[in-house]
Amino acid sequence: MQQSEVRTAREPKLNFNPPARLDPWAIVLSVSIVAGTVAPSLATALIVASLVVCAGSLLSKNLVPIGWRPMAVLMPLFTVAGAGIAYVHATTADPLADLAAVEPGEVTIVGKIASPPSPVSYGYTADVRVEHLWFDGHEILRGGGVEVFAGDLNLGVGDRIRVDGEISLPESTDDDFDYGRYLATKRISALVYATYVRPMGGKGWIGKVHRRTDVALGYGLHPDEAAVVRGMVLGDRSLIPEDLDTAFQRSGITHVLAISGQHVAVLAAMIYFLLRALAVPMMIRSPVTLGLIWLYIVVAGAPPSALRAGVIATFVLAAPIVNRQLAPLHFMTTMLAAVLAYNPLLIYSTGFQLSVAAVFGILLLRKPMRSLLNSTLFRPFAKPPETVSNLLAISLSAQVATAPIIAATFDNVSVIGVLTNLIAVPISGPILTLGLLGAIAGNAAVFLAYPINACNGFLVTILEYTARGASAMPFATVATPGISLPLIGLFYLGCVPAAISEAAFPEERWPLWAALLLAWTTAWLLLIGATNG
Amino acid sequence: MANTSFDTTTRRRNLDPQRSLLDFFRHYLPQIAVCTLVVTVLAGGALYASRVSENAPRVVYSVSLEKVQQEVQQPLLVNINTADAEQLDELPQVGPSTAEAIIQHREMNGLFRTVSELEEVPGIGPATLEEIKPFATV
Repeated sequence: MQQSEVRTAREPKLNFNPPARLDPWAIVLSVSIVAGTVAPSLATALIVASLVVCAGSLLSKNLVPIGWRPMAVLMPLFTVAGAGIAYVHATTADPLADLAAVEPGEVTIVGKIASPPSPVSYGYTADVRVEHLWFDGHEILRGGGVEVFAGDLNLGVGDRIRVDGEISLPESTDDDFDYGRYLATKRISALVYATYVRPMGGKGWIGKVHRRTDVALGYGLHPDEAAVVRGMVLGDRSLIPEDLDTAFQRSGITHVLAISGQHVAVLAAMIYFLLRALAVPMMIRSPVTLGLIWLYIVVAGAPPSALRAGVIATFVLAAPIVNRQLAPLHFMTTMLAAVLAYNPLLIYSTGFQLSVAAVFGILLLRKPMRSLLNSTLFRPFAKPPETVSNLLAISLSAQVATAPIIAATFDNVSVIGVLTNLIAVPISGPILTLGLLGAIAGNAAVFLAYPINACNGFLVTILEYTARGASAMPFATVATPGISLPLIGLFYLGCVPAAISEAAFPEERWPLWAALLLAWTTAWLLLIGATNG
Repeated sequence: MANTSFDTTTRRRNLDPQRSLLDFFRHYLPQIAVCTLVVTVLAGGALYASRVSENAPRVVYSVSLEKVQQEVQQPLLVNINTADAEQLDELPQVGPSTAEAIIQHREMNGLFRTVSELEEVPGIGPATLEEIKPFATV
């Protein structure tokens, strides 16, 4: 009795799980934000539908199951809020884009570099956050972002610069790629073709970290290997040779170079377990880990996939502090609602789409896939090898979930990726860990960096050989040009039975639904191939 | 355990959410309050991110975009009788020395009556004159 009272006092009384089912709130809010951004009339329809459901469940006690009644009643709150958030973003004036549309000629900008300068066909390009913008002798704008093109940009993230150049709006490229929308996902409003660039007021600390990391990784690593480690540690792929970058893409392991959940998880585990080994109490351990994770995300340029992973890490580490249970799917949908509320245009970001699809795929498809593998491929084993089975199931789940996005964006899908990920995923964790340690050691004591980087060089070489070897195979990729949105929708519709199999079907049926999903994926890819001749 | 706690709490208050709408709202008041709070925070975050943060461009000195557009679209037109050396320098194929020569010619021979008279200035030939003509006036 006393124990029960103690538990009651410690555990929060509020719960969104049964008996009151309110956990789909984030899905409703996210769908409403997306609808309000992509098709406002659809958002209106959602609001009307939610009002009908709300009124119906208020008038009739039995319209929805008792546990779902609060969700039905509160649904208009989330649909209206989602549409409102989309409306607030869509109706925000962008005077910087308005000015660029006029093409007024030369402007002067003072601001900070927000992305690592990367080489283009001529010179370099980098995102710049505008602090002041002068035109015709007057400071007319503050805030916003521009993408600067310049002959030389020997600068780092956070460096303050002055740019003189012609401002204009981005235009769609020849292959109908909406460059303006892509830049809008990064909150960039215009392009500036610089005629003059000058550093102002010292170097930014993020740029210093990048430069010092470059130097530290240079101790004992071949430039190509250092570029791969740099890409994995800082998310900056600008120094990776083009052929190697293509090999990573064709072999289906590009994701190990993007700052993602895996990077954040490895870093969080490193810090968390180090602090635990030092007997730091949880109330300090979790906030310190969180602080360092967000510092890393800022240093890495806060790409959408890192933001997503950061929000999830925050939920996971904060849950024990506030005495909440871990609910991966609820965390994931809440992250989606929070990130989309911050920037709804992220739905157009390929990195964000891939990141979200991969995580949802792993959460919803991993168990059916694992049961399929255990009942087929690993059937001869008395006890299926759990680690290999899990890795393969995760790899398959993520690849199936991201296949249509990759197909639509890159016009080809890596089929060899199922196998290459068996090598790339397990070694990317140690590469990242050693890369981080090498970067720290290189700045603290050079002699420490050499052995760490040498060990890392060996692992990176394996990764490189895997990428190059797999990409050279004739069946490495399937060409998928010209995929339309309805085809993508059709694919995900076919994924629904397998995705809900864990909740809707008995466990012995999971392998069947997973097998049908794999057959559906193959059929879909063949259909795309046949459609395009 | 949390669910048991939740049920125990609601039973103690003797509220049946199925009995009346008032009971329903009283029963789920904590959930409704949290949902409203979450939605308010997210909407506030959206408002801040889109309109207040440094990512949002804002006007600090008002310039008429129509006027800027007119100025941009207006072709460069230099009055060769009133322009100084710097303005004349903006004409095609006219450098600082040719600009000085135009001014010297103007001072010695009086104002130009037509743009074609520029051909009399040393350094300006027929080809250069053709390039200058669209941008010069008297």
